[in-house]
Amino acid sequence: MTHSHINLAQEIIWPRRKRQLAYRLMLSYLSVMALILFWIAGGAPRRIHAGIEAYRKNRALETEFAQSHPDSPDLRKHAEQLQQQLLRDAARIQAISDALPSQPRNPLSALVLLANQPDSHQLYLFSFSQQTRSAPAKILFDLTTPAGKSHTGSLFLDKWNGDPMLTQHFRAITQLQVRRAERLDGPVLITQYEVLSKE
Amino acid sequence: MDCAPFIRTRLVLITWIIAPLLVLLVSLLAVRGFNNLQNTAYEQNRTLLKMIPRMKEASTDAAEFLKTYQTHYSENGSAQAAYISRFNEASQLSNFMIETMNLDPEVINAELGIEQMLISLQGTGTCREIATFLKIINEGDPLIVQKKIAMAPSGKLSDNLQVNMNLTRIYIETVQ
Repeated sequence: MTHSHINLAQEIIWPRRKRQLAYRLMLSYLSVMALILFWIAGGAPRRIHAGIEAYRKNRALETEFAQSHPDSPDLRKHAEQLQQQLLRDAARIQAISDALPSQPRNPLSALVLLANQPDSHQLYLFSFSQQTRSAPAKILFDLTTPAGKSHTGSLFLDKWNGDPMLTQHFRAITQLQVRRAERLDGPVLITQYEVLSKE
Repeated sequence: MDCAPFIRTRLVLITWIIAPLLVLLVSLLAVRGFNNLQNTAYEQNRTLLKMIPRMKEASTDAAEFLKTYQTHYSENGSAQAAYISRFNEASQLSNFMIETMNLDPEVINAELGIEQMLISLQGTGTCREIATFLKIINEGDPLIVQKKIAMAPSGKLSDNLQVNMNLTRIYIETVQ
């Protein structure tokens, strides 16, 4: 059975009212578009002029920079080079900072004070450590005094706490313990002190 | 005055609708694009020009700081030789007796050229001599950091103390 390919609706045309409506709609659409295009076209010279003005100013900036920096290729490359240099310097400073204690302390002031003690007071043991980045520096030391002499621990503490260099970097000194010991030159009192660095 | 030109075929109708929109978009984008491009380039360059002096200042400050860590040992010899000489001199000046000294260079960051000299030192001296030794070392090079110091009496009747010190000095090796 053969099918017919005749399009019977081909000859059907829109009614007059529908054609008028379609025509008016298209005309309105094109009019609106034309109006918008005119609006854009109206603003275009102003925008293009502003663009050209920005281009001129930009050229002036580049010329000014080229005159003041004859060795630099151009403004952007110069800024990029500076940025690279700064990043490298920052990485170096960070690497140095990471390798050091967060606030390096020097035990020299403590040693000077201990070295200047009266002869009756002798430094017996001393330890200073600031091995890790996070933990505060710590000084631990023992001072000996002959057992028969009056104990002058408070004088020593006052002296320590009155030292501006020590109080600037270290917290108040703490007396941990006092113990008696026998030495060849007689009995002695050994006083142990501890000091932590300030944060 | 008929809609026939618009609805001749489906393609013609679509073209009538799309074409004005395309023209609008192209003209709008072209004008705005040109304007934005030029303004952005100008503003970026203006900002860069404002930033460059501050970047230069920061770069100078950083260079000044890093300069204190830069060494040129490779010009005259090794870093070890320089430290041995410095420590021996301090030992003589302070009467502090150095018994053993180990210097161990360690690379912290090879790419950035950052190294540290780990100095391990054993010696004998009075508290005053040890303090003087450390003072001379610090005055000669304030960037030497004391990591650990341990002292104990070296003899029962002697004022002398036996000392173990671990010091470190960070430096940037700049081979010429």
